[in-house]
Amino acid sequence: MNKVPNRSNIELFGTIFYTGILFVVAGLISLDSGFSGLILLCLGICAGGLFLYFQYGFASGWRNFLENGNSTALVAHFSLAALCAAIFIPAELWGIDAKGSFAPISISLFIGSFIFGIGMQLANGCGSGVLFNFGAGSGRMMIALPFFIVGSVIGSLILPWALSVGSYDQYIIGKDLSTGWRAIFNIMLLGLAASSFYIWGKVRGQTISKGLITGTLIIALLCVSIFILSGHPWGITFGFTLWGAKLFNSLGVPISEFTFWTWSGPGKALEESVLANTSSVMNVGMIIGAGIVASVSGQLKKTFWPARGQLFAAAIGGLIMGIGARLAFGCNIGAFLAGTASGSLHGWIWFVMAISGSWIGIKMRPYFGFKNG
Amino acid sequence: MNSFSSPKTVYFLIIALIFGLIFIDHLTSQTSGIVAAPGDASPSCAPCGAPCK
Repeated sequence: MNKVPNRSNIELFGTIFYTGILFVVAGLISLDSGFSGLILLCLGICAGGLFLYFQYGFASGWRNFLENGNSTALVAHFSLAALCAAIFIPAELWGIDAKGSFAPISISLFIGSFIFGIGMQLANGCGSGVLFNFGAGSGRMMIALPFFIVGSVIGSLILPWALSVGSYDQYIIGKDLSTGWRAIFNIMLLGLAASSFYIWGKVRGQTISKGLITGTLIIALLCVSIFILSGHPWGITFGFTLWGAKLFNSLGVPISEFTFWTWSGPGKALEESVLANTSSVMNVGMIIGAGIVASVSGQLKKTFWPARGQLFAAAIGGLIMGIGARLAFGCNIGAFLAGTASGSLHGWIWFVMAISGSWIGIKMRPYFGFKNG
Repeated sequence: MNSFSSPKTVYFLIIALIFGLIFIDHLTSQTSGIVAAPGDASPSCAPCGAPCK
């Protein structure tokens, strides 16, 4: 008789552990914010599970383009933005009570997104990548995430000064057009970017896998659901900033006296529970979702510590991603995806600067023991 | 048995610590009963609640 493989211990413990956490978190959220909070938690759980299942990352896809000329991930990312734009921009025409993601065109946007690009290559993951891989037990992300959190608090302290150095208003692409035409114009721009990368790959014999197409469609559906239910596009990094600020606050650092935290939105978030902030609730859900999928699939068992140099890179990458995310008003999800899908110029600037920074980050990787190529 | 520095042990300790802190924060903070984003507050120019300048 065959012996049952000993895969039960860590998987069973992880599943019970996360199920327990899920029930407590869901109970607390439902008591305070009811059904709407629970739905957001569930969407976060779905996001964590789906991103892990499809391995839907930005950092490795962009690296694959910059190193090997493989543009398939970029086709997927711009297609994802175009699908979201079809709902985000003409939201009022669809009868949806939600608004897009816009941000000022500032010097901080250029610098922040550039250093974010460097950081995501050093840490081997962007905002979402750090979070779902952390939830799945990645040793690298156990280092990157705390540094990301600390970096984002530092970024929040720098941002007011950075905005005072040079900043203009938001720029809405096609702002003089009617809502419908603005949506069509922006979808065409995103479609043009996706098509250009598709043709680039096609002439080099690249094909887009069914998994990537399916993942893109399902994640688009998820992003649209978040937009409809929360009233704005999905963002990840403010949750990190809030967690860090709360932690520093509890350690006696007078966070609430710093300019960023005197602004009404961040100030209110700091006063309230971490389970009363959309980004924070979604992040909690992502960790739980990725943790459950990793437990059930046996991925937790494969957790290991990378080489010391790579852990050092994860720390540096996490720190500068955190600073960059705050200066640039978000990460790949909250600034690039949400910004371009809302028809905001800041999303496009974020992309150009972050992919430029990624190129520098890739050049730095061998110094930390990574093998490129 | 895993050693203390084993990544699995560290992982579960970090997760337990994070959720422990989240529970404590939730139980000791006020809440308006609505899950909101900082950009929802006005006047803000960015999703994080920052002004334009």
